[in-house]
Amino acid sequence: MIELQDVTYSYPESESPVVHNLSLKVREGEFLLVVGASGSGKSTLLRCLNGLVPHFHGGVLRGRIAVAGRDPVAEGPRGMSSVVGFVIQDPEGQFVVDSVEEELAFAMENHNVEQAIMRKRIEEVLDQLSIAHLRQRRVHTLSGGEKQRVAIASVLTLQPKVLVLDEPTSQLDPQAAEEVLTILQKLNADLGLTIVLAEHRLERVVQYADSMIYLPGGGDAPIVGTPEEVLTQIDLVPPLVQVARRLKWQPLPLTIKAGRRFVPGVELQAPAPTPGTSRTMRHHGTPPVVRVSDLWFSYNGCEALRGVDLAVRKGEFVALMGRNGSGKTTLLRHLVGLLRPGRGMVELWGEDTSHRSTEEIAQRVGYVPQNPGSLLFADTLQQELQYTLRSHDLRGAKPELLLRSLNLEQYANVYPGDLSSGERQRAALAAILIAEPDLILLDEPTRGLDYRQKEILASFLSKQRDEGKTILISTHDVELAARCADRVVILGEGQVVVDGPTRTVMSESMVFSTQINKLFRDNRFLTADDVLEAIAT
Amino acid sequence: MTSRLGQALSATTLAAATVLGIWVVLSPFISVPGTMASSTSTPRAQSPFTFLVLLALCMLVIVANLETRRMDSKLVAVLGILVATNAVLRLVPGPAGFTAMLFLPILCGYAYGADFGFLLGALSFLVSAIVTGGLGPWLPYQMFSTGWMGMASACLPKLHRLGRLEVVPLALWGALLGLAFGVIMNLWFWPYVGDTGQSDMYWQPGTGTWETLGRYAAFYVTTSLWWDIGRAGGNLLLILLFGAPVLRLLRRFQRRFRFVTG
Amino acid sequence: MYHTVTWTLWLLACIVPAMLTKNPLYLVVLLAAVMVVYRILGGTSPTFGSWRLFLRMGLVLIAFSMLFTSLTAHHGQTVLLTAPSLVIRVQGVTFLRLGGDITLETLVYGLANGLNLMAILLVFATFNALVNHHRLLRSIPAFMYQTGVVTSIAVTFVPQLASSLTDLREAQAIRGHRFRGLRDLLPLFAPLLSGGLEKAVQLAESMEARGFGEVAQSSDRRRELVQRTLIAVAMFALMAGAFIYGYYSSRQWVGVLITAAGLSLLLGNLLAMSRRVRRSHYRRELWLPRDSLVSACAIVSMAAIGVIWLLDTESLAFYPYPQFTFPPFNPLVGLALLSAVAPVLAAPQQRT
Repeated sequence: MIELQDVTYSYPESESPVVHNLSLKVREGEFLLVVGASGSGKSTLLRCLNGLVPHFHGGVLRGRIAVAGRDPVAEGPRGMSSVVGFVIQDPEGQFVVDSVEEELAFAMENHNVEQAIMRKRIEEVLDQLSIAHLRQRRVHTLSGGEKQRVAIASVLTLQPKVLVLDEPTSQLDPQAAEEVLTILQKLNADLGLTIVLAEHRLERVVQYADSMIYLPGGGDAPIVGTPEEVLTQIDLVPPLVQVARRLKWQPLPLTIKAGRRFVPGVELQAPAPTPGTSRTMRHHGTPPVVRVSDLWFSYNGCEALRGVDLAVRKGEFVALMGRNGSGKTTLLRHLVGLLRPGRGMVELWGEDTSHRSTEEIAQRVGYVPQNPGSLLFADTLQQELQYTLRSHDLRGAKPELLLRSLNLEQYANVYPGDLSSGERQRAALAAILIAEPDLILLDEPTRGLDYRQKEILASFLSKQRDEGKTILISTHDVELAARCADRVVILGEGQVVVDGPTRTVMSESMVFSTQINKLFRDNRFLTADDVLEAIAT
Repeated sequence: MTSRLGQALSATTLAAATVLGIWVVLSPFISVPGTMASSTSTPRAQSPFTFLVLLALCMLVIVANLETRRMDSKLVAVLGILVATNAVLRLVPGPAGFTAMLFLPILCGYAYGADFGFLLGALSFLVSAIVTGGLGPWLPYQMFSTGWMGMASACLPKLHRLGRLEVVPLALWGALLGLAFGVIMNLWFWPYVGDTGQSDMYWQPGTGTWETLGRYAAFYVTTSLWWDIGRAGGNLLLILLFGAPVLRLLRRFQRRFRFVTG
Repeated sequence: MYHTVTWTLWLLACIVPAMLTKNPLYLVVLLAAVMVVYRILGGTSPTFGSWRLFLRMGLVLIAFSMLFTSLTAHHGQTVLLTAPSLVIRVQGVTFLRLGGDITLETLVYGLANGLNLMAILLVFATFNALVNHHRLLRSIPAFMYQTGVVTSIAVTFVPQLASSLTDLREAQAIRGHRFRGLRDLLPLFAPLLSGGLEKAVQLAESMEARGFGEVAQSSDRRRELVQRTLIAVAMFALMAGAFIYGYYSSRQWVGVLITAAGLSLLLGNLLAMSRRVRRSHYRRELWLPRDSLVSACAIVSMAAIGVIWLLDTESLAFYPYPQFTFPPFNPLVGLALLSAVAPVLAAPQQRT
């Protein structure tokens, strides 16, 4: 179905090829997973399949490509649109009309399909993707997962033979991602649609894939094979696979279910877990950095927070978890003064914040919103940091140290728009943390990051905590919480449901638990590192 | 892209549309006996109807001329999103008459060309009206005048060489256009509230025009002078302050994405 | 509940007479009809607030018009009262005369003017309340489909960008950004703009991947030149015709002829352009019998008023100078105006 032979491509502005002598064969009906670090050429490979590269992006492409018997280089994206359906990452960025039904018709209108056939195909596609109830809705009222499903539906109206998706779930929360991936799997299994999917969070999708290609980047040779074959050879793997490789489980398990078989045969010695870390005990005398008492808040008639009580001490790293809409972001916004309590009180460092303006609170509190890269506006990274310093009337801070700890020192004079998305996220982090706040709040900091970038962020945050800062993150990312957080607070429907040390909470929960924990069901083992350490001893 | 001849034809069409549009807009002052009292002796008020139709036709011609060219998807997408951005700028508050909706069409017209500037200006008001559910009878005037501003800004000489001072003449131009916008919008209201139907005065061209102008001046001062100073001043400041970064952004974007506008 | 085209025809049928006449009696009939339509068909719509706004605006403008006209125009024979006057002279030419005799005629004329504007405003307000704006957007003719897509994209992205603006404001506030002056808008505006441009690239990719855009053909150049030439010629014809009509009172028919020729050339070209466009159009709206009814009504009433105007332009005019007389009332015109309530009469039985 898809064949690439010795494809080499470089973007117009760069000299080194992003893809070099790449050869790949994809059979009909196959589910191919494309993985690699950011900038390794995943997006480029995907865009080669429908002609966006080189027609849309310019540059020089050498080699032969054939998709469903057609040549993307010769036909271009418009010619290939009836054969290849292409879905991008940003759920909000691919809609032309504000109505679901009319958006579905857009692709067919471009191809001059007649009215009767358009109606028929729209009905089909609404059923295939279970979005019939969204038909009359306005696009901007949909959730992220619904938007992505509508986007997939809109390319399916042309009945393509191949569906290509560029990280469709990276901007979605786990439930929405689950919906989208399940639908893809269904399309692949029931309809035999060939699917090419680029994805960072392998654990969600690797079990559905028939084959996998890993792009190391820099034009090196890719690694192609079944998921089991490829995962044994690369670094960026989910925790389960990390452990399985180390313990030499064969065949390599990709799901918890597959891994359970091997667990009884494992003998690990690890000390009994400590009930709570001693770190928190250290600062027991001082007033808590954050104290939320009986906080109630509602907007638009719905109660977002219902009597939340929370206390965070200095040096604690707390992870706020919970479903979408459980109030996590609302709580964080109260802590920084963007929202004011309807009832109850928020105290920072023992002082009631209701008399303070947001700008005053921001002197000591740093808040990193979702997609912080969208904050950057200056001409160089250095200027961006200077701006924050000037706004806070601070001088004498040392930006170089901060940049180095975030692996960004070489970009000090680079225009932030030229950085990759992961680097931009860290740049925004630097721009906010340059003011050296004592309390750091982060909202979904790992959305869209690959494993390596996540690790850089996680170790940076841990180091900040070790230096005495207090950190509060709101996240769906269980692995991150397990890696960094001392304490986990789970919110449900605006109330605190669970509040306790990470280890305890996670081992007792079915949903908010890491892969390793679900695998071993042992509260000594939360992260892959726990297991690997236990092996070593 | 388009040949020289095609561009020349385009330019003549736009120029003619501009002339007709200005004539329509200034009609309360420069209309002459011929438009009234054709066969009868009783003077009547002019009908704004024909003039509005002419204005709509001018816009139609400009759009049709634009549509002869095939716009690629990048251009359509960028235009669409910039129009949305400009429509959102309506929300930016400011003192009397200040509107942030005019400076972007001017800068984009200057950087990206007449077609782009025209569509950005005209469609911003249309989209703004659609989104707020408020299509008003003044919309064609707003669309035409803002579109024209974007279009005219493309005719300004390219002043890259001035470096940082590039924005100064642009800012003055913006202030001028800001005032003009107000004058034009008032002319929309004029036939309804200020016109006193003394067309027989036109029989004496000299006094007639002066008196009408005088009356219009009074109308203008009482209704919108302050408003327009706010708008003109706003444009001046916005372009002075933001012109440089915005132009940089627009040019950088054009380079990086091989964005073709002309 | 009616097709978009039906509502547009209704709008035209109400606007055309409103622009042609300043006779207060006719305007009142029109206003009454429009208010009835709004009350019965659209009273519950969320734009009620903006309708009120239009109403208030209209009333204010009536007052202003009456005041302004009576103070600056000095004609008419029925003097009601005499106010102190202020005269501005420039080089012997009377530039402006404020105050003086306040006559009934000027007041009435001001009233008529204001009513005229109010009628137009309320027709538009009702139109806004009753038509679905998104459907309106979809009704753009084929020859300008590119502009249509641009507008559609813009309308779709406005909510997103508006919330980006709010998010940016908050996020920058937390960085210590304070709004001290215009200069501080930059950290809000620049990211909005650059973020928007980047989104545009992704959107463009998505559009091309779904087949948007025409395939380049060799005959494109020639076709484009031909079309542009035709449009340029049509434009010149329009311009020339308008000027001739305006400035040569003896040869007005020449002007009309040239304008008509230009117009037909333009429309013919637009039709050809529309036919060339290889794009289908997904229609969701149904055309029902009641749409035909109301549209026919609108067209007939427009035609009737048009004919009356062409035959005897005087009959629609209202000119109280030099002496106030009661305005004439032609029952035919009144009936045509009253037919604006057609949408109410043809409406299906509503569940209240």
